[in-house]
Amino acid sequence: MIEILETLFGLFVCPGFIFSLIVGGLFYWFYRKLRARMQARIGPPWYQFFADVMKLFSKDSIIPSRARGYLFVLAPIFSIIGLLLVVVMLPIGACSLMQSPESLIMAMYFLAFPGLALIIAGVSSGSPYGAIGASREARMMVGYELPYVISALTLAFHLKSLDIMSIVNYQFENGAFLLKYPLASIASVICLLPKICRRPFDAPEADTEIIGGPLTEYSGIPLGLFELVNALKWFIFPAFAVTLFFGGGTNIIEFLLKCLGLVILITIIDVIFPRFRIDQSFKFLLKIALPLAIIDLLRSVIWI
Amino acid sequence: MSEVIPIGPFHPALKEAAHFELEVEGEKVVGGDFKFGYMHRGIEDLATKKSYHSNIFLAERVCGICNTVHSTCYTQTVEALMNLDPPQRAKYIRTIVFETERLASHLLWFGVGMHELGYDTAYMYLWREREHVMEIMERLCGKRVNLGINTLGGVRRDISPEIIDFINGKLDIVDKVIEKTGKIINEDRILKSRVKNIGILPKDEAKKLCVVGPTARGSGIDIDVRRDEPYAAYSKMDFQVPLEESGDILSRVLVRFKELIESTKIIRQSIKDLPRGPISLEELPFPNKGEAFGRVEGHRGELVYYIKSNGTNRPERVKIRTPSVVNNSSLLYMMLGEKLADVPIIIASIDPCFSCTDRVTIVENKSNSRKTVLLSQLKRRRNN
Repeated sequence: MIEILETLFGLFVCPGFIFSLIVGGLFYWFYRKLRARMQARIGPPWYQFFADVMKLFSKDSIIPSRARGYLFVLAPIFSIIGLLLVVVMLPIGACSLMQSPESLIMAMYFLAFPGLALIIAGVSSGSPYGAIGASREARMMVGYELPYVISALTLAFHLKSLDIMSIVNYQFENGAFLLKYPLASIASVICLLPKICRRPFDAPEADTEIIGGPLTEYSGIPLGLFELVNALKWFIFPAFAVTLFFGGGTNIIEFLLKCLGLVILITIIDVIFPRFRIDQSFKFLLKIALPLAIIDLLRSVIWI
Repeated sequence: MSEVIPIGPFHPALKEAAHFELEVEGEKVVGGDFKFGYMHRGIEDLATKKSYHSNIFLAERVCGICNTVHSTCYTQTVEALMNLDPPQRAKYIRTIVFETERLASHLLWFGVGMHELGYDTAYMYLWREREHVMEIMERLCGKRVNLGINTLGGVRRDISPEIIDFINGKLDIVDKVIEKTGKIINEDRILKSRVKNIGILPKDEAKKLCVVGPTARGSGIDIDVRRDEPYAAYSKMDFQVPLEESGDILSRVLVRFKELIESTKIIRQSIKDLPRGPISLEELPFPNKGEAFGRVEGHRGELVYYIKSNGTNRPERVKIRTPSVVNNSSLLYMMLGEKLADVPIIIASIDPCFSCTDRVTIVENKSNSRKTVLLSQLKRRRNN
């Protein structure tokens, strides 16, 4: 009984939903504030994200008549569930809640949920902008999932293990994988940008081209849920990268500081680049990120 | 299989209301239809009901960003009707304000273009630096947007030596801004890959579509009213007309960029040899019976005013042809075969100004069908 309660607490409060939402919301705010300051603007106050979500939850939600209602509403929930299942597998502060010998494979699957949810949202919304956004996201996924998975598999080949805990424990003893596999780390960080939908890879949500892409028709509570997804993404994707390549953290503070470092890196890239066209970003991911990941995969297979 | 993507009337890429219906196959544009006319304001009709003097204010409100262009063109056309020659000092001041506004307009355009490409940082920086040009306009005219400098037979405000010092100081800052802009355009490879060889308008096609201004000069057509038929004080200025041959978006960007440099040159020259004397004529005659035709080189291209007078204090007919009227028709040619992602920057590349352009829309109330109306059909309609 107590175990079940503990699991539920872990899933919904700490390090699950509420904890990652607060941290993600603050990271999201930090991104916006830093970006604003770098662009000579003032930027929002720290509670902006929470206020936005509260406002959206108190508004009417309109489901367009051309949309497929249940898929339209389920898409953000699908995305949240995927991200929450990842967060319980991450060793935030030395120990993770849910341990399994195949957790790396599971996490890679669940991390694809937000992208899939965006495609479902775009297609089910019945809007041409949504359809274009979904097709862009689908093309982008082909580009970024491959190097992302290969860079993670490099570590699995190195350790002959698919357990995230063993990856972290190895790094506690031997130093971060960033030093051992720099190319795979770079490929993984490049893939973070399209995963969080930031420049130069934000074509699926390009506001000046297709308004909001898949999110064009969303309003009220479903849009609020997508805002939550956004905040969760800002915490969980950097956290996953920190766990795999940047040595994790022996305590929560160290872990969060490393995540913050990645957030700053992503923000700087986001600020200094214009947007790639979809075919350009696809080419970039396959021509630069994929070879980088493959080189390190070969190194880990051959030289170990 | 193609589907129709609507862009507009309200869309983040458009700063004003216009409707584009694009047929796309995947991401490729294969066809399209444009509808303008959402902001038709009946200005030409209104102009016939006001006196020549109040029409200056009306002309200024045709367009926000190129208001001095409109008021200069209007006053020059009316002055031609009145057989007036404004004092030299007034002509020089008109030139200064005209070119300052060109700086403001082009810098604004660069910001918008960067925003369309998703380069928000450059957009924010350029608009912040544009503030210096706005300050020049504020000191010159007392206002920042609708400048209200022109009047019949001259200008309304004089330039004092302090203002000249102020402008000189600000122009040095603007030079640095232009240098930075050039650096962004020339050195950013992603930016270049987004605008190079996109939206090509070849020279013969540009001639066929009668495009004007930077759009024409980007396609290698060497036209510029300031040089070809000088007005205000342009005949005494030494400046180049930038020309690019390739006709893609990059060449239009480069033309505008070089025009920024030329504008600062013109402003410097005209404040250096600003003649002494009065700034406006004391007495104005009634306009002669007849018609007059005036043109100036606006920031978007050649602007034409035609005014017919019947000897009273009100014009009988005022016809305005804004540059965007002709430039808009070239959009479809540029878009065909390009990616949907390039459409916003193609639209932005001609720097369209829809509300000045909007004329008359034919609304068929009975049947809800839409069709293309050819010129011959329109003629038949008129004859019936």
